[in-house]
Amino acid sequence: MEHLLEIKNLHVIYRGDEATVHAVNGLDFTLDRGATLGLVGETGAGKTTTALSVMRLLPDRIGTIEEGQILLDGIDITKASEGDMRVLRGSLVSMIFQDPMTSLNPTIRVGEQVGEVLELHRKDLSKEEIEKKVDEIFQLVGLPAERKMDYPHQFSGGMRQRIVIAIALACEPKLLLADEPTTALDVTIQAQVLDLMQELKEKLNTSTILITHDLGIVAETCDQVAIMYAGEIIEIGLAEDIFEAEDHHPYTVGLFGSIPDLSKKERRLHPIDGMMPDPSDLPSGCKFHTRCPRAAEQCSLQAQPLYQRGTHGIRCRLYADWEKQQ
Amino acid sequence: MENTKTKEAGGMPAPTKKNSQLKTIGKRYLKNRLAVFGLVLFLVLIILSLGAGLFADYEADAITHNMQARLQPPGADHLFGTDRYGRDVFARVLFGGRISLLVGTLTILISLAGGSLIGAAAGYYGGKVDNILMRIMDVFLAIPSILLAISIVAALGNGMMNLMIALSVSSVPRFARIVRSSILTVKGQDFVEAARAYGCRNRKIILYHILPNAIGPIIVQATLSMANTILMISSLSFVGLGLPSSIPEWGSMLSEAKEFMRYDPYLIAFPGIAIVLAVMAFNLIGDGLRDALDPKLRN
Repeated sequence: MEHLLEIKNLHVIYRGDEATVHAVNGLDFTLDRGATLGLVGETGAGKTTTALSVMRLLPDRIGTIEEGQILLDGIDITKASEGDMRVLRGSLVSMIFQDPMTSLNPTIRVGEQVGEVLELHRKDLSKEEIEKKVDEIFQLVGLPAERKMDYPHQFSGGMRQRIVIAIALACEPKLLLADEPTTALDVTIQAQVLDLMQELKEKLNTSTILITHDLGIVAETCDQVAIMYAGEIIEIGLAEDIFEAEDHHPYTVGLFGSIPDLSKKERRLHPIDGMMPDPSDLPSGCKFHTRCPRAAEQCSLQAQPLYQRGTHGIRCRLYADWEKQQ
Repeated sequence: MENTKTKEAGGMPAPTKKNSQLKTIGKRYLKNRLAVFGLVLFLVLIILSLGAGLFADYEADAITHNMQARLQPPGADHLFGTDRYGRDVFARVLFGGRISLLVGTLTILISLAGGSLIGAAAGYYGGKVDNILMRIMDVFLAIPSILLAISIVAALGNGMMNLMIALSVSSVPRFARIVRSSILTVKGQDFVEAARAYGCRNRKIILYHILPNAIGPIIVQATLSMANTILMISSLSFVGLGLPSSIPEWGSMLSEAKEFMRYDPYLIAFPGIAIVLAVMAFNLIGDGLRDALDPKLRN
């Protein structure tokens, strides 16, 4: 079956006044219809940049897609015109932003904001039908329809994120990009919002890319996981490959080492030493070698391809005996 | 305050039916007493100046010289007294209001439209568009507005139309700058990005998402400018560049009255008070509107 989203060799740079930032460096992955992919990584790993590239919403004049292809439902996003993109955004692909407190327009009633998306993309609907649809969507995300007459500041954070989800899913897009949708919410509300997203995803058969740095959320909600470091995917696989298999990239091992585990008797966490490399001045060879506990001399010389075994891929010389991908 | 609140709660239980944005804004505006006072003042000024014909005759009272009745103090015959040509000051103040309010309002509307267009384009698109537009505005801003207005009137000649053109040209750059900076602060917010992410057009984003959120400073600027424009009209008339001197206008009345200030202070007081009241009305209305338009300041 054809993939819904196919990203091939994506390179994105930000041109600053002083330096050029290499935010995404040769990203490859595919997403099946109806699947959920967790995109995990530290701040600055290029997760959000990847999402913005798919939306073609990189900041004007600064961010550019240098190379590569993004195929969404057979359409090459990198070559689409701005007008075509406007039609796709909201109808084929939607995005949920991190902070629900700021991603709703404070001067417009929430019902109108949900209705606006429908007005933009469903020209076939009359005013009354849109109104009815808005009521349905409100019900779908678990909000009383009467509250559509209220303004965003009259809602709590969790309810606002429900409205944001309502806006994103109003036109039943095929792909939903969720950029840390629960980071700004407290833990109990996080669970509710994730459950809601999961439920709607199944109902509408939407594929989701969930961007997060919370491995717990990924374990609960994602079918596939991609771990990003310095603009590359360094490990990718099904959730079982990442959470249950024995073989991992040293960075992934480090990530898991820095999660507190209540069942073990440990006095301290084991963080990864050092910092993410400066994306305007990336190290040669494997980009993780400066922090890697298992680095060898050759790591600083030669960049590694992704080595694949079944569904599991790792970008590290330790797995050189696996099948090599380009 | 307590009274209005209970009435509010009783009369309108949970807005289930869609009432228009305008209605809620109006309701919020009416809760603000100072703003209501400003509005009443404004309406009184409007009624008095538009209905000036009911109280006095334009030709006979405000224009025709009547030397027998010159410099009469305020009294039953002449409510505000008469000036040195025997014209009724009350009538002239009323008819003068027409000029000030009409020219002022039109000027503000023209410069608001022009300034918003230029400022919004510059702020939203940024880069080259921004640079070119704002540098042109800077050229106008480099010239003191009163000088600019004087030179335009001098070049085009006296008259109401030319006066409006002169005043608009000199206040458009100010509006453009205010609008641009408000747009810049709103443009970076998440909901603008979110609007782009669900496929909104640039024009709709500017008009529907950004401008309503930037309206506060623009309205404050508009009211201050309204006050300023009324003063500018008066100033230009004061130096004889506004309208032909026979036409009643607050500024030229002040100008004529300055010689009689010591013995007949009422000549300067009435047009002066008219200017103060007009300026105050606009400022109060502006503040009220700003509060009413901001849903976060509700209650």
